[in-house]
Amino acid sequence: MKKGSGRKRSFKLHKVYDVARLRAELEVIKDDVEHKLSFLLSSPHHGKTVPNGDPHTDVTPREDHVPPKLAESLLIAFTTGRHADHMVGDLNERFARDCKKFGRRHAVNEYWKDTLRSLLPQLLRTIARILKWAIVAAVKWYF
Amino acid sequence: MELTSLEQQLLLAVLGLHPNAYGVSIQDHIKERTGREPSTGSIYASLDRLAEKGFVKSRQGEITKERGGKRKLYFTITAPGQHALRQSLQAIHSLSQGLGLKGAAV
Repeated sequence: MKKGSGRKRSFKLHKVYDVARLRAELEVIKDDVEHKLSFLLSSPHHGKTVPNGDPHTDVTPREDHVPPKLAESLLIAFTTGRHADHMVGDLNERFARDCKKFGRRHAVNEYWKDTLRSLLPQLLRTIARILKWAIVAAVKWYF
Repeated sequence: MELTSLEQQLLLAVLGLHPNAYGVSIQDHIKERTGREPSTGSIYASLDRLAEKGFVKSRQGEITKERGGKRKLYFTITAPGQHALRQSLQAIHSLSQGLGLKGAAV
């Protein structure tokens, strides 16, 4: 009897531990979802379309202050210096300002333009380095 | 110590915007006055070089919502930076004197 009840108790404890762990994991997921939702809903005009007279720059404000993620990721991935964070911050600030002044379309164009202009010298340097090594390797292999 | 034209412009902008010189304000300042807009990447690369030479100092600034939680980085010009800038501008000035360039006064 004792053995059986001990086993039962340990089983119950195990279940309690599992439930507690699941609850903790659920809390983490809930916090994460709430954080992301609050970020998405942070725009004051969420869910409404604000007409500004120009069919090309009419924006849905939910996306108003969300800069192009691909450009941001490229900048973070290819910026070799220690200033990637500051550069992204500056671009985001300009993006928010351009959105208010000229509309989202113009702001996205400016963001991409600045990102590519910032990355181009680094990309060219990387390509040049790869080409240099490829030529050296080819010459060594040939002779 | 020689300075490139972008480095000269950056040092002048940092000096003119003191103590609020950071990426966006520097870019706007240069664009307003020269009509030329250096990219964010080239600004930071040049400022990095100037910091290595000891011509500018940087300090972390505040986080704002528009910046997506990223800090500003404020720059200030140092005494050696001011000295190098003065020498560089004087060199340009002495080179351009007496040339009789047409158009705006130098």
